[in-house]
Amino acid sequence: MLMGELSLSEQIALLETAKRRWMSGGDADTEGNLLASGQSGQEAQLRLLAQAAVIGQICLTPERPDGLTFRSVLPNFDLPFLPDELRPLFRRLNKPGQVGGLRDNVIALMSTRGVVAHPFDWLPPKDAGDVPAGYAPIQAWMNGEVGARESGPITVENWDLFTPADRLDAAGALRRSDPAAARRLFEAKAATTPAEERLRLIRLLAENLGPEDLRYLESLSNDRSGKVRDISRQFLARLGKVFGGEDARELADFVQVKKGLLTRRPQFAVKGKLNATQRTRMLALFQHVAVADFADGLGHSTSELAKGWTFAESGIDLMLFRAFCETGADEDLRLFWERALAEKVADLRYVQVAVPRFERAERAEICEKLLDTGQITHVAGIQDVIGVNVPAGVARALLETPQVREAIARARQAANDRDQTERSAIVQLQSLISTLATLLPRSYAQQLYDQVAGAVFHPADPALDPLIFNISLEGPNP
Amino acid sequence: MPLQPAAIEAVAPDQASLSAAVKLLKPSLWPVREVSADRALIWGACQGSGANPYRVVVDLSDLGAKCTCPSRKFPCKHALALMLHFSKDEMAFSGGTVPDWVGDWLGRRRKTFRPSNLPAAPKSLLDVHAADPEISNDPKAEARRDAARIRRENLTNMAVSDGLHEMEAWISDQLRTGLAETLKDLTSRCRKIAARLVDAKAATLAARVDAVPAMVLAQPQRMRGAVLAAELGKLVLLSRSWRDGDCSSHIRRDIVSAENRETLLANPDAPRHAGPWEVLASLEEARRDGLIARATWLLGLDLVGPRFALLQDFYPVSVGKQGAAFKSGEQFWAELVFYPAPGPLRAQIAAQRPLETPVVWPDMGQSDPLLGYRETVIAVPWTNIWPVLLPSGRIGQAADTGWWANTDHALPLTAENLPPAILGSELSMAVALWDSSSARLLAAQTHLGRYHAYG
Repeated sequence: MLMGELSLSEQIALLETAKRRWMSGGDADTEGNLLASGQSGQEAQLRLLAQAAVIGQICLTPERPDGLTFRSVLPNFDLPFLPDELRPLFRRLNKPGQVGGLRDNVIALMSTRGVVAHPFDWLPPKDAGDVPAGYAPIQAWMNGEVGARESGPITVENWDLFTPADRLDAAGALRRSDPAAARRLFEAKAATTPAEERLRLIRLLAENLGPEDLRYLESLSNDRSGKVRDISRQFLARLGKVFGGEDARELADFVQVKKGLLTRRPQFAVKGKLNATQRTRMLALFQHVAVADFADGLGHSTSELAKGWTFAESGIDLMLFRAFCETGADEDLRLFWERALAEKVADLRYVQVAVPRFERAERAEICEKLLDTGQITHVAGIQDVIGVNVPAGVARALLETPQVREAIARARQAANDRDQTERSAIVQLQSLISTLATLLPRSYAQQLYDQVAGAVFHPADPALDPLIFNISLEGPNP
Repeated sequence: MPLQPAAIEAVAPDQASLSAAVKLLKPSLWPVREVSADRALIWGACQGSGANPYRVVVDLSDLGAKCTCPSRKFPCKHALALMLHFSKDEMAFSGGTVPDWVGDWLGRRRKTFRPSNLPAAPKSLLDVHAADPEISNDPKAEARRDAARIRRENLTNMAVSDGLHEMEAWISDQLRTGLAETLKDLTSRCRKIAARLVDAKAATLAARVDAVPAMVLAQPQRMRGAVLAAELGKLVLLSRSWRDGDCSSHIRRDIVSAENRETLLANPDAPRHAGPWEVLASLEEARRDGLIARATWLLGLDLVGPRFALLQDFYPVSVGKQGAAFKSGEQFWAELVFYPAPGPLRAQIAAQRPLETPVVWPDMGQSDPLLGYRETVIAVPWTNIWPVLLPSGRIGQAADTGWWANTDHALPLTAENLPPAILGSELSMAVALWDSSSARLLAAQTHLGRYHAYG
């Protein structure tokens, strides 16, 4: 119509030629173009330009590119999604710039209540090591692992059919039910896995660790990963293997051994008052000297060391406890722990160090006791040792700490006075609420909410969002 | 304790605000009026002169207030009107769950609370009606006003024509010296010609020219020349429509300015449609003229009737962030009045009320996603953005570019980060904005539920 006898593709080609001309500058050829020809100079060019715009919009359609690829469809999740009515609140809690750690804690809380985040709202990072329960299939998808997930008992034959996350779960279940079979499986297949995965597998040997594992652990002293070599050395030490070495002797030199006056049992104590350099050196040596080597350097057994240690210097005592946790046998660790409790030196730091060795339920009982006796005074750090959604006893104890009671009282006072200078009390309470909101089970979250809503914060204040989320999120409570 | 008028008088910044607030007491202007369970907060939506209603909240404990209107007075007439409503008739306020935007305001307010020490000027509701100016009914005065209006229009039309002539000359210059050179200096060149168009009373066209650099430079390098040429061609088409004497309102709107809300609502030829709508997205863009343009895209949920609507507003950057009037995914019943055009899209809300039950997306069954766009371009060839319906398909990637595709069609998507989850979703339907070279995904119905790209 506009361009005479030319076909559409010829017209388009001419217009493309015109565009190239305009890119470098100058007049495009208008001959044969019904709309532009017969017009002079500027007018012809503008008509041609207008045509090119319209033809491009109407006649050209995008062509499907070569190499267009599609991801596999998202797999089904192991757990249901967060209910729709809570998703806006979740997105508010999850937005960038939120209080540090709150986002991760909310995800963890949701897992304990049996739901996962909707994938449009949140996905776990691609290579995250510890992903809460329920996200294994999506993480496999994020890592490009497609196809049906293998399930059931893991064997040498089906090892490679499992995703890394599922492999770890299955191997852990096998270690609990048949420790020897798990060990044989690791002997056969662990060396074929990447270092990080191999480390997680070897750590599973802590469950039901026994003398039967000695030979395999000794073979790991040649593993190409330093972390795997370290963990195997720790496990060997737990099984009583003594490595000796200069460092163990040097550490022992810091300690004097005396016979108790009444019991005649050996008593161990740090020699005199350490200067700063000596203290630093002693702490550094504790980082890698096994407790069996340390006791051997002192010429005594680990159980004698556990029974006879004199608690006098907080940092040194804690490091020795850490050595028992990493490399001590169960009985010796228990002995030392009971004594630390009795001497009232145990605090939250001890529980943090003991996380790999004490079950969650026991850690919770310990925390409750320490909170009630005032040996734990601050709520920060509780989550590191028990996780979120803590048992009722711990929740009660947390809300009764002076830190929490006084923070609420100060904030209520500041809210009543509407005094600008005391606004910091309200800000501090807001920070405390962010920490407590995911720790507490629902009924205790409600208690805290009832104390502060209205009295300090308006019920719709975003400061209360974490508590409202907890209260609204149904699911099992501990 | 009931809210007393004397308390409202005390917080009003001046008599003029009280008077203006009284004029906003018509219930039809307030599609939403709600109160919190503890009766400490009231909030609402007030249909002002803009396309998007203003959101207003008042804390009844101290009559602190917030409104999304651009007024610098505090509290503004909308907040005062809401207070007056509540003091007159609390029962007109339905109980509601405190919305997020109110909660956010409470949080920000708590951090920056300062008791006011400003002395209050005397104001009174009794003086409101006494202040109303008398409206003259003199026919001669009216005739003089009409004549003046026509003279102004003619002067404007002449100025616009001159401005368009100058713009076409500028475009010719770019072609002659080479678009490659233009691209090197695009922002400054467009700014200059846009300023000339402002002088020529072609404000809307000036804003479009000012937006050319952002639109072009958002494209991959290899496409910028073609996109620039296409936009310049569209500007020529728009200019020629005016210069050829087409007096259609949509042409005037795309060059000079849009009719105000009152004029539109009074226009018997303006298309209307009442029914359920869903908010697809609310997008804000800073313009070079110091205004923020807010575009709220709506999807018509009736089986028949217009499929899309656009509520377009502008407010000064200096007012600060206002927040969207609606949430993505929000549904409501509304009577929309469309600005007359060959393919009506821009609209104003004449009446609005909440929907009692959610409405699912109807089966809109269109196979060619660009069919509606092409039909619009034939009628309005300078169209630069148009909403399109995408039938069932998937989103994939080719050389770092996202594509929507099914077995029959494929469209490139704008270069915004696509969340991984949408790449793993099956889309039964989606809505995007097509700008002739790429599609900006707004929302989609997927096997995992509704997806909203914004909010």
